[in-house]
Amino acid sequence: MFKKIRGLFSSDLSIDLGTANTLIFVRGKGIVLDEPSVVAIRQNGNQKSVAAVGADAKRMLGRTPGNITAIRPMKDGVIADFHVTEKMLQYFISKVHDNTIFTPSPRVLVCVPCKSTQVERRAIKESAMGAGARQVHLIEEPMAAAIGAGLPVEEPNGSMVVDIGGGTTEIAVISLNGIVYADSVRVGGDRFDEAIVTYVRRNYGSLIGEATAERIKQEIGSAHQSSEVLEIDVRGRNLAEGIPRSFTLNSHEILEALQEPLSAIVQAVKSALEQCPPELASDIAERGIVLTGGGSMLRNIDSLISEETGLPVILAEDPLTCVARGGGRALELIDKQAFELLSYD
Amino acid sequence: MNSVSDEALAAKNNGSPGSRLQKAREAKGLSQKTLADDLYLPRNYIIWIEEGAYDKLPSMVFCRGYIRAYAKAVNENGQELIELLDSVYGVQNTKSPLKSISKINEQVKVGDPIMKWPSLLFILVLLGVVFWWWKTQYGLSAPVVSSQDPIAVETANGGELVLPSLDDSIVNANAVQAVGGASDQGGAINSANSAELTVVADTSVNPDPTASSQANVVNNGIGIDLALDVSDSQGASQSDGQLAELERVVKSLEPVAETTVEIASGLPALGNSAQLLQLTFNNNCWITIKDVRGKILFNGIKKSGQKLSLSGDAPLTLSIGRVDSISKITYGGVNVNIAALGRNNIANFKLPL
Repeated sequence: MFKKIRGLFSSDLSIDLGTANTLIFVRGKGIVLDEPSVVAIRQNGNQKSVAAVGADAKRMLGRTPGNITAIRPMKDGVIADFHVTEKMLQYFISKVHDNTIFTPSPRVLVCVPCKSTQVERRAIKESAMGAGARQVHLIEEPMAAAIGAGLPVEEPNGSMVVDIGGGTTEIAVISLNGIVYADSVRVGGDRFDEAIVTYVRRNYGSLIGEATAERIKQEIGSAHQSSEVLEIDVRGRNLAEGIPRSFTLNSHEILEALQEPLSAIVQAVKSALEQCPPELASDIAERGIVLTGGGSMLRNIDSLISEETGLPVILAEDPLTCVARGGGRALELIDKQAFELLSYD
Repeated sequence: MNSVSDEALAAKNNGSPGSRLQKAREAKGLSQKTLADDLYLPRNYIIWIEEGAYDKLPSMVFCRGYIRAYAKAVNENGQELIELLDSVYGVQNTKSPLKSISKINEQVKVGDPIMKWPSLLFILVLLGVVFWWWKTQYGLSAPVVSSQDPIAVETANGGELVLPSLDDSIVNANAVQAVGGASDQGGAINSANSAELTVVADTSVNPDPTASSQANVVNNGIGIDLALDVSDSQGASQSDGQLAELERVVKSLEPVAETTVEIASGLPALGNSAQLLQLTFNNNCWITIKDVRGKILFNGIKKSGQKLSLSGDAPLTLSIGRVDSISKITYGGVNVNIAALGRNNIANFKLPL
């Protein structure tokens, strides 16, 4: 009853609860929040309180004193810490509502990895309800990504979408508003960062943080050989000497470092094409594969997949927000009582 | 004029993304086939992009993707070309509203005219049907009221005055009949030491003055029959008191009677066709009486000791379920020998015979 009244003062939301970033799309407003999925928890004795959420908390990652812990409550696309996720969602939902008199109680559409288990989906649903949502619907990430990229999902034509997120890579073949084939590999931007950290430790004997690894990936990371060679200076703690050292990395080295996670993604794409019904495979061969998600911003990743599969590959516009925007558009259909795009736990 | 439009067209073509891409490709020394192979696209797509025939490409989302991939392959600025595409050909609606593939029937709300008017119509039709049924079943008359369980009223002197149920019908009664006599009334009147008054209001009430004013007249005029029977077993003084009381009750009924009589006198005289039918029952009996038009004047069970007085347009059709339970039947003051009419204790006949 009270939730319904509070719901009158709330907007419908689509939340891309990602491992790396959380995006919120508000109907009629667009993307209103894009913050890292990081929460800083302060511990005073036995009492725990939220010190910071989002960008503020991310700045604290790896730089916190003993009583503050900056954590990422999402791991591999699913909830790793239920209560912290709930707090984070609560903070984000209240942040996108200007109304201060009533606690917002919106209808929420949350994107979930297509291979997430029932328990994981239930956890996301419960977490969103705990954060004050009036109604929680789930949509599979590749479906939301395809809608967000503007693919004609309702047509009787096969469209293949590869959403490379922070924790997972979702691959799906979509036709007639439904997922024909979907696969999810727990390889994403985080694995790229880890691969870079491992490579630097192995080859330079230095330890770099995740934030530095992410910066290296964004600035000189490449998925495919190119004539252009980029370089970056980084500083890390030398493991033998125990003191910070500076060294230079180039894009070829990063390409070498990323080989393992990239080949996992390519294998998953090839596997999806193998499993795909022949008619849809023919449609995909004619039109091409669409890449979305933050991982698709890695330089030349389209060339890599194109070369490996022999199919045209196109990059979606604004790939980081595709999932959230797609979820937002799926909200339109919920109003029309069409739940065919949605997923059930 | 023609030259101007040709120039404009040429300028437009020069500025189009396709022409710019074509120039960049030619500058790089790549053939359409080579580029198509590099991008894993069909050669037709390259031709269509260069010609600006975007409607032949799968959809605008893919078209923009191909242009960006093409631009990247020939070292052009893809974003700039997309902006150019939008400015020259207008911002294409790349994201058409989502459509459901299943037929969606939106829920109809109560307030919707689609829901409201048919509902109203249905209710009106239903009411009409109920009214029609009621009219055909009972005519426009109120249900026949028969005296039910008697009402016992304790008098001031300790006696008991027994009245049959006097409901609203007595006020509207077209015929008021007070019948005395404990022996006649059976269970209804059973007190030996008290004045007894039974008002039998067996009548058909017809609120439609035009339809059956004559029947009213008959009922009002002829149906009033007050009979008193005072048993004098407890002495004269007590009887006097009870009598006085009885008179008071009767007086309270008289205005109704007088009024009805006055009304009767003001109305045209009754024809022979409507004569008073009186039945006296000595046992429970089911009976149906219809008038000439088939209107049901009475349909139900009369109990032992009850009387039924009514009138209707002749000939009246009577169906009696238990002939031997009727002690007396008179029509227009003439006794009818019912025993001769019955068969297997059931009688179906018309009056007058």
